[in-house]
Amino acid sequence: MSERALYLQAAESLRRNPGQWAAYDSHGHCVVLAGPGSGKTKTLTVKLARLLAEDVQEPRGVACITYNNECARELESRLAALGIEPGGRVFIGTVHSFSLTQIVLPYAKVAGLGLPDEFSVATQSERASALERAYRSVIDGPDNPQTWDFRMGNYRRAILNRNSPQWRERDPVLAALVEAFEDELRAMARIDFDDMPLLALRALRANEWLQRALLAKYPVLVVDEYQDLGRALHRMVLGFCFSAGMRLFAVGDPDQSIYGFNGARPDLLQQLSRRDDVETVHLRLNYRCGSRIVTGSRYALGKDRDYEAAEGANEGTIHFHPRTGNRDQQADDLFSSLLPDIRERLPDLRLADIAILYPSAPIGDAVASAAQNYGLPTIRTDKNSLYPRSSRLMRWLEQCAEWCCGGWRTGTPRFRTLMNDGQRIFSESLTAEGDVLLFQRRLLKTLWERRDSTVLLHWWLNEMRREAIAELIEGCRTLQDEGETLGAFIDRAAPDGDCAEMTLEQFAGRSEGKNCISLSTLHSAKGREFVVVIMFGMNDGTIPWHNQSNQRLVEWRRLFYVGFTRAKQELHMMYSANMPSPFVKEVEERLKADG
Amino acid sequence: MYLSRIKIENFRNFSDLDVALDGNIVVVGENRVGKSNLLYAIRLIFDPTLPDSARQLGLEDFWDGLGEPDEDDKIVVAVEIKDFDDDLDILAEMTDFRLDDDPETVRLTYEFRPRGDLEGSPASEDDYEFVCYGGESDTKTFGHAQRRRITMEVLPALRDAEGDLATWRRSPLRPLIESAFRGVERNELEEIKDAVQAATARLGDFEAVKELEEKLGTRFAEMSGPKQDIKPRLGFGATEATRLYRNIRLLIDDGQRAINDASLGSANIVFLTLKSLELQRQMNENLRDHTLLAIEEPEAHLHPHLQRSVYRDLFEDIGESTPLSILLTTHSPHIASVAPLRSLVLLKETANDGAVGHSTASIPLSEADEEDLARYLDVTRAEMMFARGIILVEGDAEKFLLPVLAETIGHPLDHAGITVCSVAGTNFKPYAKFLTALDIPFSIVTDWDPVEGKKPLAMNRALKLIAAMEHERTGEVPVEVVNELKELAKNANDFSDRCENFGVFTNTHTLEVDLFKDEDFTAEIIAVLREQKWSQERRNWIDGWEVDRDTLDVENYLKLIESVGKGRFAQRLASRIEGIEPPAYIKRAIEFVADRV
Repeated sequence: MSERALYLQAAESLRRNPGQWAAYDSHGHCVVLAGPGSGKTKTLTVKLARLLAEDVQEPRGVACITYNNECARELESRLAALGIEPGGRVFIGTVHSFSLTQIVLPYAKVAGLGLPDEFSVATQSERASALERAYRSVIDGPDNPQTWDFRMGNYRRAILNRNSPQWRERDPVLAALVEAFEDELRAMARIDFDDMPLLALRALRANEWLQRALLAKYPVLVVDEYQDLGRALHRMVLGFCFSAGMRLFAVGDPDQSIYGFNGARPDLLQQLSRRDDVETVHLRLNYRCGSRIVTGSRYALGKDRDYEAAEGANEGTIHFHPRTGNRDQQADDLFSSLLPDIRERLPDLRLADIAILYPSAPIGDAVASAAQNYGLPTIRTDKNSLYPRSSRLMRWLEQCAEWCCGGWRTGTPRFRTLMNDGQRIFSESLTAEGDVLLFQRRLLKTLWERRDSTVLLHWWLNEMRREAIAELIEGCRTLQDEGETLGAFIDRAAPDGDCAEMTLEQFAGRSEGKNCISLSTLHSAKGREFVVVIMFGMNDGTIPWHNQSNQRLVEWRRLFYVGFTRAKQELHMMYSANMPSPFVKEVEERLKADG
Repeated sequence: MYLSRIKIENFRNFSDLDVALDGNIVVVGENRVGKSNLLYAIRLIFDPTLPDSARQLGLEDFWDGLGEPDEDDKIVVAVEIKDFDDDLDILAEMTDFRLDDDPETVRLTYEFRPRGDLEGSPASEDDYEFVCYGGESDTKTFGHAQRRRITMEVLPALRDAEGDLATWRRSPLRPLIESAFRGVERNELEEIKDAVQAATARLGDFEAVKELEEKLGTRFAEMSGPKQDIKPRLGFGATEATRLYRNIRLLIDDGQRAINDASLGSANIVFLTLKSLELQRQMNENLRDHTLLAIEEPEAHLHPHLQRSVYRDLFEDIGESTPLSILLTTHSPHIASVAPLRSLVLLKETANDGAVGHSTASIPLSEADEEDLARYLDVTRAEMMFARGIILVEGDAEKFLLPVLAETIGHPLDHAGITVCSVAGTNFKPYAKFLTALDIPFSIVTDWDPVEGKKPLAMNRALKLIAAMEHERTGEVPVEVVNELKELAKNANDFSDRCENFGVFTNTHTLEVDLFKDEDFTAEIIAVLREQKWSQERRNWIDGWEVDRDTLDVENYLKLIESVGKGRFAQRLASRIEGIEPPAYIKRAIEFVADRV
């Protein structure tokens, strides 16, 4: 079937939903305010396919910016199903990769950014040493310099214009620390992640032609998860779309803005939607959650929304589990009594349909070790996971492992897919004619000769690194940090490390679609959905913390709401009976009042 | 967008060519000076039909003067592009290739160089690689994707336009017809099909035709046997509805005759017509964004009048309405005469540095100067560009007389490739700038034009001229030279002697007066004047001057010449002065150029 037919067919399924259809049929700037489970990703991908087929002609394209690499991957695979491969006319990636690959790398010199020649992206350890030196020269106090990282990041993201009096006046010490830190990085010929959007903004501000250059490449800008993208992107969007002439298609939900600590501001999307030159579309039908969960979610958010469950949705249930005992005992309880009950009630339930969500990673440790005691496979997606789930390189290696564990026979994943993904990850190293072919040969040879699911992971990763990718990583300025992540994980898989026993099969099993229970923080659960969600550790003082400002309190509540709306059919709240979270209490009371 | 500069290093007959451009390029120069190589260099960057195997050059493509190329030697072709941001499609393709220190200029580079992983000196062609990149970093490669949108098409010299028009696959008519037929309804085609079938059936009504067809069928079947029988028939073309349009032929004379009956010249014009329509179509259907249309020696088969009208149209009308740059190599002054003034690139062989180039793209000219020059080049058929040397003179008188005088002193002008050009007045400046920019040797012969009680007009004229020429030559305001000449102006002889160093030659009055005062010419001038019928009074003037040269009344003398006509007078005089030594300033002006060609 042609690409065109694929998206036209997909569009037919939007027709029944007036909101989705209005978004699909929009012609100018369009903001889509999309409640949980309202089919926003589907709407966005079909719209994107339509833009490419009907509105944007070669050689120009569409840039699609989203919150993190996970979201980008999700969009990529959905678009692939519509016959659209990224690369060429379509950019899909984060604000950071957009800033880096579309502005900073191509224009660093001509835009006068003053970066050293051949700069690359700093690894965590390089950042740490730069911060250490900056701290010593500016503050030289008794603290661990790394404790300043968080505040420093906030300050950099909060005040974008370094020439404003605000920058120097609001916190002179932080301003000096940031500047010293950046100087240290530059001296090492490095930039860091926070630098990327800041440098991009600076380049755009100083060079009038640059905005038009981006307009030429991308006459349409699509932004997903707008509420979490922060001020730097918002500033870029205002320039691109409301002065240079790009067309905006932004999707988001202010109610699900949970990254305030990273500079996210839910009101920015609302400001956009109030503009006269923007068409605003509301997606209010929830196709995910059972009707009772939709109702409960209103109480969870504490605000009235006109969301309703889509026609034909199941009823859905919400269960409250006050518990006694400490965190470990409660975690044990989850696997000894709660989970067996659920599986008895829903005999067809796969482990992959279950998620256990908790407010912070340390709580996850308790859940993970309890799961291990009961011999249940889990996959963790928080910062205490084996390696960051956002690492494109590690995710790609998982896929390669899967190919070695029988994928070569079944065609899942296809070698072609591994090649395409690999080519994108290592694109900086694959510039000369023949590079790609050489890479393909090496990859195939390396994988083919090591296609044995029982080998030790340590050996396999080492071989893989040495034979196929070490040189490529070296040549990629953007991949240094992930290279370090891989190194750290190989150390853990070494004979004296804590994952020494791990086999290739276990590693391969970590990739998507395998039958594991998901363990995740509420934050990392964003955008995902499960038949059964168990919210664990929903205690006062944990969610929210004590003594929070009103603004922070609102954000805690939104976080609670995000976890709440991940559930399709059953939602479980586990908390200490003597100190339930006020959010849990309110939901319980209002549901009771409803009858 | 337009090409603003081209730089070629070590390629064939170019050691180091670097010329400014202004979009269209009209390359002129003598045979074998490398006009086609220049086009080929540009093809290495832009031509999508050139395969990579052709981009992989050979050792023989290195500049001859280089000797054996070593590890530091490479062939480089770089073009710079400006105004690339008007069209967003072009901007999208080009924006990443800006120069580090100039965001308004894009550069595309082709390099043929020793392989990156090579240790030591390259030993054979296998040790070389080519790379095409934009901007200043060879990691920003470009390739077919860009060449498809910003594309170069080459129409070779002396192509077989008629043959191309006759073959469906190669015909420039094909894409146009196909595009036109995309909009035609199938059932309407059916009607035509029926009509063609009916006409074919009527053929069979003729007994002789039917007989031939039968013979054909039988003989074929005998030869091929029944299994291979393709059942040959006679008809007016295939009648399958979807292929019907392939029978369409371009007809001339209101449909009376087929194109192969047209003259070679007409076929060429038809070919260009179709080509330009096809370019238009590709732009309209967003298949490409800019075309560099290169035509080698377009004068082939075209009458001079047609050369001018076809290419004037191409430059002025089509070039204005289509994103098109025209690249020509030509020997034809007619084509050069209609080329935009700024498009001229003159190639010249040098003894040690290969061919070098000079262009008109960046000469600083006022709008009025530019108009003057353009009009002038048009009128004189631009022979200036094809001369090895030029003597610029004020009017027709010098134009007729100088060739004869040159012959006398052993410098036959035609032989040396020197042309005498009249600027019809004294505004030499734009021409002088133009010739300086193109590095064509020239001298200027101008009258002293004394004025009673004031400085002679020639002084200020020469001063300004030399200042402008030196400015163009050195790229700087020639303060010292100007001050020196101002100082010398106190003494007329010193001043004019110095001017001769710069190629500006003056007399003491005006040409006719100076000639009369030269005793070798007096008798011949008197004779020419007497060819005319004059009143008694005037005859008396002439008789008096004959007796005593010094009694010449300049005002009356010039009055007589005016009434004969300056040009006619000079022409008549020219026929009489063979073998007479020219006045010294003219001799030196001729030698100045002859020594430099």
